[in-house]
Amino acid sequence: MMYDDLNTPEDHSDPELGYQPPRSKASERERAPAHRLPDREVPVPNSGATSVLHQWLDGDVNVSVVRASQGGNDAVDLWTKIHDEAETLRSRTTPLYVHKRIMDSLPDDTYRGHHPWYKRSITMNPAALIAAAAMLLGIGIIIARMAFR
Amino acid sequence: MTSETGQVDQADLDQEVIRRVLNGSRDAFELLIVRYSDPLYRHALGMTGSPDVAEDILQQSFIKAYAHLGEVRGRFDAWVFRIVANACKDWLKNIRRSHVSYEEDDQPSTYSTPEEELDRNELRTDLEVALAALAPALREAFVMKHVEGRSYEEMAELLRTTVGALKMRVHRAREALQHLLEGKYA
Repeated sequence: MMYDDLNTPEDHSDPELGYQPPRSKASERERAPAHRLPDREVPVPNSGATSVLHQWLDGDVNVSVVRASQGGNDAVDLWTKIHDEAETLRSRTTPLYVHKRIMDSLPDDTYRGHHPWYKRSITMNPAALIAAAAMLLGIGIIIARMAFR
Repeated sequence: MTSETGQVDQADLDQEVIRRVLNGSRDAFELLIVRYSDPLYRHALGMTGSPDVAEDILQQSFIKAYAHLGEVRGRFDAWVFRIVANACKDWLKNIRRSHVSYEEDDQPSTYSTPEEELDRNELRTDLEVALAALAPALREAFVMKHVEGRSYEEMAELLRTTVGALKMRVHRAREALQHLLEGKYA
């Protein structure tokens, strides 16, 4: 036996219906949370061969067990082909241009405005760094000359 | 999948990146894109069968994740996976397609002979048509199990449901696919 979850996450509250007739006690019981159906038991309609096939595909039994069952060889051949195809898909990677496309489409100011300028990180390239250093050095020289005049 | 300790470490690193982004470092978000885009892209590709649609879903999902990054509770990878998974299911519910678009693909062929490539293309097309006939929840379970190679426990954690329910969905999906494909390939 297996279980299928009947309690979906969607909101099932009643829409606006206007006038509604009074509910019977039976329908009240049905609507009460304590009477909601638990996970439903669903019988798996498997023959022995199908059950063995699922066990093999779930990694629980060896392929020889499936091959020994009725129609097992055909099923193994089919699922081997499907697995080969799935393997090809599993090796797929995101095209690199997609990363750039996503970054380019992000808004610039979503989180930037939340912090004062002195807390933001800055990015500086080598040319800007050299220029800033030269400027500071120049200011330092001017201050030193004024101080020792 | 990594070990539990590895997952915890990864989750800590993700939280650090998220903190940086929320502090105004937009560029740090690219670390999360690079880290998680491949499994998310494969999921979208398996669910939609179209590289173009998978790219669009990935882009929209990361934009949504960026806009709501302050709402992440728990693991970022599970949270962003659910955004992508919901987008895929919405797309499947809204679009009923009759053609396969793997041929839009520009990834290099890995087959040794043209005959082999032809056979595999035919199987790929038939498999995609068969997958398109499944209900979105069954396709999702099948893709996560057989394309992404996830365990039932991992699937249950990501989809917030039970292992039993997921086994049921995977079994139903397999039986439907076998029914649709065995006449031609078995």
